[in-house]
Amino acid sequence: MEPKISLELLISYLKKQSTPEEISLMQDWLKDSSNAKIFEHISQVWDECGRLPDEIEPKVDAAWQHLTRKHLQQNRPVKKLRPVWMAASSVILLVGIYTFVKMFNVTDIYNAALITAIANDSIINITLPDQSTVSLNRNSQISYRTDFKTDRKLVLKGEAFFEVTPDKEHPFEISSNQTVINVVGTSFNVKQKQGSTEVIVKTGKVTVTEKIKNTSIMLNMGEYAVVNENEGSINKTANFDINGLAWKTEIFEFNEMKLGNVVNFLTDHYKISVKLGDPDLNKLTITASFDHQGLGEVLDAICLTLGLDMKYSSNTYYLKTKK
Amino acid sequence: MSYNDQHILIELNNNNPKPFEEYFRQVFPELVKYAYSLTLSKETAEEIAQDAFIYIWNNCSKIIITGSLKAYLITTVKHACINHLKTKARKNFTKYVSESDLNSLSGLYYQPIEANELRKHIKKAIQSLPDRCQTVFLLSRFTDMTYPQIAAELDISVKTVEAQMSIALSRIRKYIDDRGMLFYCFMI
Repeated sequence: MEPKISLELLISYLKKQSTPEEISLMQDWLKDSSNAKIFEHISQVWDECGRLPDEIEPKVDAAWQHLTRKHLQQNRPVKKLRPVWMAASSVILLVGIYTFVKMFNVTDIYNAALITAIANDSIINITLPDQSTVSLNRNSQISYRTDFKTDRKLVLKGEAFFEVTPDKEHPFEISSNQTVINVVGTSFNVKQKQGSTEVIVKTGKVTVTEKIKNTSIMLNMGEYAVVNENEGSINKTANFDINGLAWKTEIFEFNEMKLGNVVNFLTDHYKISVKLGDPDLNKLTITASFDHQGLGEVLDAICLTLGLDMKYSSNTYYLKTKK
Repeated sequence: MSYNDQHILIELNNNNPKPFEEYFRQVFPELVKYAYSLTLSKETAEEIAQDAFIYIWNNCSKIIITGSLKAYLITTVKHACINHLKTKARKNFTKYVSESDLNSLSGLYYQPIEANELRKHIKKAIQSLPDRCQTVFLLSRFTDMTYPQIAAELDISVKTVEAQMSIALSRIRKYIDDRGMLFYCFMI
């Protein structure tokens, strides 16, 4: 009995995608001369079709000119500002507001104008009037007044990493939602979310106060607290999660982390979608650490460690089982 | 990504499109040909290939490329072509070809074919296929996609893919010669 061969098998043989078993199956099948004839007919069609693209000869010069025009058209109207210019233009705007406020004597109400720094697409670094520095994560903003040096209060929306210049006479205070953070001199991260604020202390000490029940807590170096602003509770853990600072430090690590959590972290960190090609892969865990590495390198390392394959399709990276 | 690929993107980001242009001149024809094999339209193919380059130009500061620049371009073009094929198939409500359609064809296009004429005939043959059938065939012939992948992409069953492939191949074959070699052995 000759083996039955599907067209699918035949085509994957033509495309050189067959497994060794399939190849030997095909070779057996081809021993029959009428089968060989069928194969010849199909492979002829296949090959002839493959020559189709040869009939066109693209005009490269014209195409390049067209491309240049198209690029100019698409980029002329909105020139993307670099963060430096964004900062500069917002400063100019603020000076404008400040002058306006001065001129119309609105200063009676506010002694100083409000400065707001906004980070949209990229992380920006700001030096405050007291020389403290702020790294403002994407989609975040801080507001403070021009007299900041003597009254170190600011309002945060989103996430920022602070390195505060010590000044005992002027405590540094951050308000975020219903949480107030008081600092003397230290570095720490604040992440404001809907209904909660997370604080990670890298060095020094900070006091975290939630305003609903007016409870306070002291956080030391390496400590982490989540303020639940709906319940008015503060939960503190001594587990310092290095990944919480990854957006600023570009250092992160996975400790036997489930692959599902890993891809979620990577998606959030690189702002590029990474998914599991197969839910079963979530059973796998990985332990690894990365320091200033691009997504490509990280994914390569994960694939190599776990013996996986990766596929890029419609703006998403998929991790898949190796075939 | 190779050093050269990286260099192209970095220079592009610094407003120096020279290396990018050189690369474009090198790779563009191949990409157009690839897009042409899937769309069978020169205009569409050029547009799709240009759009792939424009995308890189407009986004040189933020795209992350893990393989080579060329692999990235080919993938972009492939997806654009698949989308093109899918919208085309959706626009025209043509059903799949049936076997009776196939039989009515016999003898219709028979003529001795000059070697250089062959390509035109093959193109005509593929273009005369109903859209779904054409899409299935083009994806199978010109991409690395397997039957299950094509089925998933077009939201049809693997059996349908097999049937459409068998129809496409036998129809094209009929254009090439009229020996009436139908592949009934593969019909489901």
